[in-house]
Amino acid sequence: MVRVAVVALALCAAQSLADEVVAPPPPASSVALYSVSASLVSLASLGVSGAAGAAVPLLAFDSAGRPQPIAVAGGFFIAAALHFSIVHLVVPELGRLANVEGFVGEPSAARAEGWRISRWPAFAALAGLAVLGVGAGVEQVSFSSGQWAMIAGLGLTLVTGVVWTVLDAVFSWSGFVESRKAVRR
Amino acid sequence: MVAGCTRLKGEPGPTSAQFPLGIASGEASSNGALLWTSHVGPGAVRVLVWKAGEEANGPLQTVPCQPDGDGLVHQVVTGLAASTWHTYQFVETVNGEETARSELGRFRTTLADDALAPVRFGAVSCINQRYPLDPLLQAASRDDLDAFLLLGDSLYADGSKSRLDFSDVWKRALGRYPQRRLRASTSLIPTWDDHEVTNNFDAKDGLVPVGRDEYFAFQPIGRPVDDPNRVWRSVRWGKTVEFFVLDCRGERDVASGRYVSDAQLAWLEKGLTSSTATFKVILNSVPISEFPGPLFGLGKDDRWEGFPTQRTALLQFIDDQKIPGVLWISGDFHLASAGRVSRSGPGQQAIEALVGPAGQQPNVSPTYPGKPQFDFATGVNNYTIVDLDPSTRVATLRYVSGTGKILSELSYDLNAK
Repeated sequence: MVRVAVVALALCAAQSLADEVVAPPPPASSVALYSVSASLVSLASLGVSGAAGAAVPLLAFDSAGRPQPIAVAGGFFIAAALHFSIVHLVVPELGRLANVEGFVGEPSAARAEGWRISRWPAFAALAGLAVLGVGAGVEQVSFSSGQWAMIAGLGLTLVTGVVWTVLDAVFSWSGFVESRKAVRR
Repeated sequence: MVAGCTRLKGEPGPTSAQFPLGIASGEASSNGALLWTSHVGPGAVRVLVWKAGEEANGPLQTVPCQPDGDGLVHQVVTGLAASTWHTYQFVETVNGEETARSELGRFRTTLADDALAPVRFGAVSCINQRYPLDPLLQAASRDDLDAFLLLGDSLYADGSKSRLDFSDVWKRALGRYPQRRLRASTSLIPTWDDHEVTNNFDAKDGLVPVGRDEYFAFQPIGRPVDDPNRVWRSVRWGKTVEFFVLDCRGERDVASGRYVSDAQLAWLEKGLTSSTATFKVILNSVPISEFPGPLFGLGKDDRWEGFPTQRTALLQFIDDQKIPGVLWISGDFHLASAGRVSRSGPGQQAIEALVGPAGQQPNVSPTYPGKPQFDFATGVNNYTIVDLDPSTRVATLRYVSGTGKILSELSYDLNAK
């Protein structure tokens, strides 16, 4: 009985030691594969989101064929929300490409790290959308009164959106790599 | 199908291979018009002119035509009654035997010089030969448009490098069924814009002379004897309206800030003050209106606003002289609009109507001209019906889509204020 207990304790200790083994950097091929696939997902997301957003103002021409600035702002909001959702949900999952050589990471950790670093550009993009919305609302009421706000809001959204996309992808990878632990085969 | 012609799927071909680009009329006067066609083949060509509705009585005139080396005919007919609808048809004969007839066209001679009566005309700009042209078919289906104004970009010749290139594009554009229908339906009053040569062309561009030559060749207009390169001219419809057709492209001198030549500007000012017509309609291919805001400010250098000295001087002149009945009609923008030329200062009482596009992508701006300066705007492909009533000096604009839907109807009292 005592022998059995000693063996069990020894096995637990061995497992604990194995958990504490530091994961080596993922191979360059994994890094390359992640970079390419994350870029493709981000670009595809931009395309899909842009098309979805563009459909809104196109559908919202009034009966006489006049575009509605507020619909344009709505289209950008939809595009931004869709892009954020796709990238934030899909890209961290691509970290699984680093699940090699007996080490496994956590997409949730990747997502958390990506968000931690990229949240400020995301908030800035949201602020840009708000400025765009206000400008569009003013422009809707009086021609040329909200155009500068629309341009500023749009510019801020586009620039910070790109920054967010890049940071989220880069630091999701870092988060995933750092979260990797050794697994028993 | 004749080489060089383009048809969209389902569009009918020409009535006869000998007249592949159909027919057209222009330069209507109180006693005649210029009749145009493009003839292919060895036969002789003549044109028959009837009084509309009385064709059974035989033609009023049978006029032999002399096509130029490219088969293009510009035949002036005179001796007709004023303010009368006429029909006409080109006929080809070989050895005295009739071998082909063009389609039947119609035009109205202008009002007699001292006549005062309401007139109605249509107007468009931006007719891309690669696009559906439903507004032209809609306009052509009417029989009450006394004339039709073409505000430029009547084709897109961009990329043409030689006379042959330009000629080929004109043939493709005019070979389209909607173009043939419209051009046969009433007389034309055209001007040109940049795409008759190339996008936003520089007047000093080497392609301008050949682009101008082909414009004169394919439109139903003659070249002024005193200056064969002059595009600007006026057309009078009795005492009701005088059309001042501007050349807003071919005489620009950016370096000296001249949008139009001094001679053209002097002619316009003199014409506006001396005209006894109730309405003075200025055909102005690129808008003179002020378009405030950064989005429309991007193209400012390409229009009157980019030449503020001439623009302000002209608008101030019209205001100072209290010239009544002035209506600006313009194109170029891929949107139609109606409103006041300026928010304040010179031109704040002046009215400008942007017409078209007849076949183009709508202007991509997320916001279109609107209140308080503008009363209407649309990006839908359309044409405009303009009614001029000299008894009230009111101009009524109706914007009509390619399906025949009235997009807007607006009336402006053009009495000087």
